[in-house]
Amino acid sequence: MKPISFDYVRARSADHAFTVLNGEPDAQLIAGGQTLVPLLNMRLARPSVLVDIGHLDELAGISVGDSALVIGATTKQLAVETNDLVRKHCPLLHKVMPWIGHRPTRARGTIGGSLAVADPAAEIPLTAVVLEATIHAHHNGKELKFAAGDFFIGGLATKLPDGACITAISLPLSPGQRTGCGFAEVSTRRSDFAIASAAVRLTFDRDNVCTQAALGIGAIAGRPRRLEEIAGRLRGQKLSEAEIDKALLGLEDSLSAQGHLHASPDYCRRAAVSLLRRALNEACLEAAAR
Amino acid sequence: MTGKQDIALRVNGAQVKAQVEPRTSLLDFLREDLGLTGTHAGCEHGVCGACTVLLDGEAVRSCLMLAVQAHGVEIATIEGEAERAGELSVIQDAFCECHGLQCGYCTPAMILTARALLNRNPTPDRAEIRDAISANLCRCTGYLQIIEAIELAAGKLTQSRTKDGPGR
Repeated sequence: MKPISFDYVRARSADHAFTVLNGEPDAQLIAGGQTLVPLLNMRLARPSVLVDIGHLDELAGISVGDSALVIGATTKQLAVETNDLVRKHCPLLHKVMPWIGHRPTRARGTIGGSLAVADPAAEIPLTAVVLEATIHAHHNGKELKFAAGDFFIGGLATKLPDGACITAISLPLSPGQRTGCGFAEVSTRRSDFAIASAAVRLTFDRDNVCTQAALGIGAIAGRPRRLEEIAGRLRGQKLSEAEIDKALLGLEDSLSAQGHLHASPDYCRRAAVSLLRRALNEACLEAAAR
Repeated sequence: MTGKQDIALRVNGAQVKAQVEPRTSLLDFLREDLGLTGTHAGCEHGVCGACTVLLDGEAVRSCLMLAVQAHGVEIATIEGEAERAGELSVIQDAFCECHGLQCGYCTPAMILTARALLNRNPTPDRAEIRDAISANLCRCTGYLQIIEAIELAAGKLTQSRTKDGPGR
């Protein structure tokens, strides 16, 4: 349970980190280390050199632009969880944060790390996909942009090229008024990896007709999935229980789930739909209160 | 560069300078280099919480950090919990009073987790206490007495604040 020997560079700047990353074979970035250090301990990760970017102010921070909330890649999850700009402009992200791991892992783990690891059960990738976020990265002197919906390939893989570094995520601002979000997740124990999860954001007009809908399901398959077809059925409707039932008709059968030791594929599909219903109800109630 | 790295940090209020291999965990550095064996190794992959220390006041898992990452930070271990040698802090005393420990393996971590909780939320309810310790496994107590200990400590610390009494 001890790592192999490796070199270590405490990056002086993001550019310095990128230079070392691309200059050394088997170089790896470390930011929060909450995923990487266990891999090092088990010798599943065997880098030649670790490039530490965890302390770099230039890759961290939360700000609001014209149309997006921008979060630096090395921003700690706990900082995102407690940030007022996130609470105001991206309430769905604010809502999912306490579900991620444990507070001690959120104190070190970063938002960029969660995106790069791309665990199928992770809450941040699900939120990014549902809200159609953009993931920014640096690679070989160029700035890259990925739509979250395309970024996650499945099975812990992403479109991030070798030697690239995620620099930020930008999320569209919440409409605010008459908007509610919902999130639900089920796991074996508190803070265990999700078996199934669902995230929703709904916006209504003054007549309580749904004008915008964004929803998705995570954990049951290799990557989170935005449910655009279901969202389409909800838009333009008043969301009574009957309308929601109608919109969810056939969803369970259409989902593909891998299943694992703790949950059969059938259970995962049923749970996903049940959680989606809960998240939809939560979003409706929240929107009504605003 | 596989050679040792220089690090400088504060541990329990004292400045520490050391040279460490990059692969040395913060946990091993505290225990073996500094002799602070109150922080315990449970799983070494971040699931049990026995290795918990406070980093700039926040509970973190020291098995999930490399010592080199701790350069420039403030670490508090259980050895720093009581103000003077031979004494017990209010939280430690409450654990004794409520029988909040049996084998003691999870206890330093539980106490530090409680300290971080009460620093940010001096009057937690049971749900908040349960939430705070949910990151730490205990195989002996069944947790209830740990929760009671933290409740008792919270009450005592709040009281001592208002009465200007001794209270740590």
